[in-house]
Amino acid sequence: MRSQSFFIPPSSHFLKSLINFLSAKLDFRNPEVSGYYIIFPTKRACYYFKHFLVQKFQGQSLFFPRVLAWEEFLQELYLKICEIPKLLLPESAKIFFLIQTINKEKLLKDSPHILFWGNKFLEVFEEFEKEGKLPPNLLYPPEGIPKTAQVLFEELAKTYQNFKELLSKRGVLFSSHLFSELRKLLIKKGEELKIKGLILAGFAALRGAEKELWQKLFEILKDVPVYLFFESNYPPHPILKETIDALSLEGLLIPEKFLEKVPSKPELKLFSFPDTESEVSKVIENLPSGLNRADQVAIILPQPLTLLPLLHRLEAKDLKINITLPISSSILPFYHFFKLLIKAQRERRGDYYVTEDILKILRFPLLKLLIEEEVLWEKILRAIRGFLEKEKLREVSFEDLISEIDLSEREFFERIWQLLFKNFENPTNPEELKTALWEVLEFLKSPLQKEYPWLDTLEALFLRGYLAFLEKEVLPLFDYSPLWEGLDFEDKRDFYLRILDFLLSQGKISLSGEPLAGIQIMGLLEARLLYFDKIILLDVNEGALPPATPLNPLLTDEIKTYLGLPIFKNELWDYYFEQILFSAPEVNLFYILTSKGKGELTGEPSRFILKYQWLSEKAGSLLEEETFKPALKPLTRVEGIPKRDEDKATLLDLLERGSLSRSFFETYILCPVRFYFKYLLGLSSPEEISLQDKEIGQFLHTFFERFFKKYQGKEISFSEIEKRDKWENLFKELWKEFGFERSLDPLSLWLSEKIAQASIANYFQYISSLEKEGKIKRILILGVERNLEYKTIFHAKEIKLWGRVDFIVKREETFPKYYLFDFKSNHNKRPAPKALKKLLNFVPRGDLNLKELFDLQECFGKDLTNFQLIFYLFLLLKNKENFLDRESSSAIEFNAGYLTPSHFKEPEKFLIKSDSKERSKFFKFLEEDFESLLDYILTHILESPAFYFTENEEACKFCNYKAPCLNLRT
Amino acid sequence: MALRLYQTPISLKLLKEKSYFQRLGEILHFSIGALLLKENIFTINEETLIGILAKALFLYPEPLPERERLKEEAFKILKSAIQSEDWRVLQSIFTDAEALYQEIEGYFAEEDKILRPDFLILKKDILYLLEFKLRKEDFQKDQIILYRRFLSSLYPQRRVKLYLLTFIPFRFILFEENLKEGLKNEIPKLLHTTQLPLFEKFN
Repeated sequence: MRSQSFFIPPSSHFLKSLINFLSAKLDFRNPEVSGYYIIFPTKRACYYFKHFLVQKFQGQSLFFPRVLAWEEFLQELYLKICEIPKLLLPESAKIFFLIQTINKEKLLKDSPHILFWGNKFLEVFEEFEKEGKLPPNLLYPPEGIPKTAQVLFEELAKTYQNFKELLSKRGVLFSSHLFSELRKLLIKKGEELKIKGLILAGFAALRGAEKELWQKLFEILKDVPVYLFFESNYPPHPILKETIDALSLEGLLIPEKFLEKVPSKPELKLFSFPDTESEVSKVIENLPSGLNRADQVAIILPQPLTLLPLLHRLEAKDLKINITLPISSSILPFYHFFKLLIKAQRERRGDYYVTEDILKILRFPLLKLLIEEEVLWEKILRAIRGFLEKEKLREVSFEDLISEIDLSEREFFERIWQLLFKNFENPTNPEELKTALWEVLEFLKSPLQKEYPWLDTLEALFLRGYLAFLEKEVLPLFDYSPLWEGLDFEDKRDFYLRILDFLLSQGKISLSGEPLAGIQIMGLLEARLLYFDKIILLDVNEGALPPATPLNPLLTDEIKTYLGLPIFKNELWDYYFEQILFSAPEVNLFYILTSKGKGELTGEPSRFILKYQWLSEKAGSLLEEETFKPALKPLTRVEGIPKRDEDKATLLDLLERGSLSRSFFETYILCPVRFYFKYLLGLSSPEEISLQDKEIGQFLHTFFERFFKKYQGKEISFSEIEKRDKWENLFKELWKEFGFERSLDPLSLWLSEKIAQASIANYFQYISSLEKEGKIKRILILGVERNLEYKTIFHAKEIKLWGRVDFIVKREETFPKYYLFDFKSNHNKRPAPKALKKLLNFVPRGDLNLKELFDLQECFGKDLTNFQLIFYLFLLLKNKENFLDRESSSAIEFNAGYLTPSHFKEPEKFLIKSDSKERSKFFKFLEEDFESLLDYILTHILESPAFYFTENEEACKFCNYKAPCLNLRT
Repeated sequence: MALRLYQTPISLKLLKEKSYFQRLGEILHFSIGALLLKENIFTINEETLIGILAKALFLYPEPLPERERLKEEAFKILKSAIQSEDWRVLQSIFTDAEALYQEIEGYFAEEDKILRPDFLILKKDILYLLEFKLRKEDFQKDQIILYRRFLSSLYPQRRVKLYLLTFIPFRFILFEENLKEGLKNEIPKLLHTTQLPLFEKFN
């Protein structure tokens, strides 16, 4: 019997019309019907076919034919006609055989890239599988691709042959090889195939291998009924025309009597949105009430990432839903957690792990959520965090960490360490790595069961999907020894980790909604052949429809031409889009339209929308569009946080404690809200475990502190100490103590040491040269890390003002000079002498408002750079009798400055020059007015109506309270 | 109010939702069904058993660590099955059978359920329904009664004979005979002895 082919218009309800046709030909109450195969391209269409079949027979029992998706049919055919089937492996296992096939020498030479390029070559092989062809060698591979890829191209035919031979020798099979396997079997044993009839429904384009397989099947099944049904309006879409011609069929419209609905034009609505949030909000608005049937509403997502915002919007609704689409596992925290475990191992050096890796793992939110001993874990994390903040190590070992943890908590920490780190350290074979991973899953299992009982949460649904992927496509590969034969990499451990990383990256979670219920959320491919009352098609944007496929540099159009492979230009997506437009009486097309200024679009409507708009216009009917503008709320700017009575009480308590540092005043002047967070709320700054920038500065600070401490109260000659042997031992000792080899990579280590040595040598030479020039006659170290304090009465309370000064030095120059220095690692740090003038002219108006604070800020220079020096100089003057020799005050000079040894030209920068006109006025201000100014600032702190937000945006750049500040401000 | 998700459940090894014996049972299910479809079920050799088992395992494509164990155990069970006394009893049913259906899928309107009886044999005016279970204790009376009601709804004129086939040990047990007339609405009794001596131990 010659096979017959029919077209069913999508608006006529493909599946119901098909059932109408088949009901006239088949007896569904006879078990014989189970000998008929009805094959659809998707599993979803199978479910719906059965659903509608049952509806058709209204209340009658029946037998089903074999209703299968294409993939299932191929497997069933294979089992029917093969003697002994091969072992079907997950696609992810292919890479192992490819690596085994490739020449060992080349493999070892380029082992870090072999997984990347190997995977790309497997895609090339798959193209040939789909076309049913053998690849040729490319004698002149395209230029610009890496050497490994070029060599592989030169030997493409041979490599492919070896690859296939190896699969055959090992007795394994992959889904993508079923075409070639089946073709061979059908040629040999086709007559053994016993099928009563075959119905292929809803297919569109056929690749070369599929076409050959179909033709062979038609030939074998020539004596039984074979029907083909295509979904298309008439005349058919060009892609179907091509398929029908290739199969030498004659396609006809299905007889009208079988059509479930008269073909019609849908009502199309086009909506554009500024963002996904407004897009999914509109979906909710658009849902009709009383949703009961599974063929009422479909929300189709060409872009799977929209699933999460959509579901979170839908969550508040009392709805039944089915979700059917594959999504990348990279949306899951588990995926990122495992990737971090692998990264930590790959970056480990001996016993030492990169601190950042350790922290990311131990503080991973999911871990915190799943560890049952929550309080204990938090305590351990605090201890580790405290240790790392203090030590600022770039690398840490288990020994470093365990010593920081309380004895009673160590056993628990050791258990976690064993699971997350130790088990992964030295796998000697693949099974050991698998066991390590499995133990992590086991550890997380029990709270997982408790937190997510069965399938009633979205999180559990995704998690189950991911665990299923691990159980089916990742973990079993580590147990199957033939995959690992001959993979003798020098660093096996690293290879195991890389392959695990590779396998995890391939992860997809396949969600399949069953039983059919409520709203259908599905991918565009899954929606094929289905018919709904209403369709909402989201993200009809370029990049989503047609989807942007990841570029394979080995499968460019140019290379495809060389290799004789067909080049496709989204013709199939054009067909799918056309069908979807007719698959419901009401179709809503949503797309994102955003512009980035100057007409540059970041969200662009799909080319299919533009095409349809053009066609509509040509036909004289404009496609109407509704545009949703972003709902912008004007931001109400809040000037400050109102100061309440309890805030004032807290502030008075602070004063009661009686001790104020310069930082207390500085914080307030810079930003009263920052002051509020720090002193009123007591918010600690977010942890700052900076491990790179500050540590060399810290080292230099400590070096000078220790070095000068030896000379405290003594005279010092820089001409003497500038000789390297005078300070080199201390340098080496301290360098070792800081353990930079653990915190810096070798190049940074070398550079940092050189810079530190040069900074010290430079500073000593700088002073030494001043000595030699006679500008400095004598130097006396008066204090190192010296506390200075001064007691006074502010607001009727006795207050101690205090500060710790890095160095206090007396130098005999033209006359005696007393200097205080604050060490700064930032070589650009300098005082702002010009701001002094403003300070001297500043008279508080007593407004207690933000403007006055801002004026005050300007009096101390950018970032209040002068405040610290002035405050310390004030304290020094108040304590001068402790330092001064018997000189008269008029014959001496005071100054304050920053010591920046890493600034080679100017390592000392002073607040006020000796010859400054303002000098005497400034010291008069210090003696007479600075204390009153501090008192005034305290009044501002206590009495101003609000804690104001600063207007100095520079001050916000490095603020630790950005997040809470933003929340309060708008 | 909350979303209600209707999703295909995936059983996980991690949560021990599918035991080794469930897997073994499924593999034996497929294998026995495939064996019964062979032209002559009384001349089955070891080679055939190996082929059928390989096909059953094909449906479990992961290179499972217990794959070899499953294969060995299932082979032993199948081998002892085809050598057992009870296997020979099947002869009376299979001789002159008109049609055999393995896992035929149907819709039972009365209960609005999709059913998949393990094995169905059509012979003259009798419908034989074979229900496979790994062990006797896995047997669910309600299930087999449902199957009988389903078949009777499609074949009101035929007698339906229900058999239980267990793998460990291999037993072929007549559950109940639904006579053509009069018994349609009667609640079936529990398992009872048959005329065959091999069922003696069953009670």
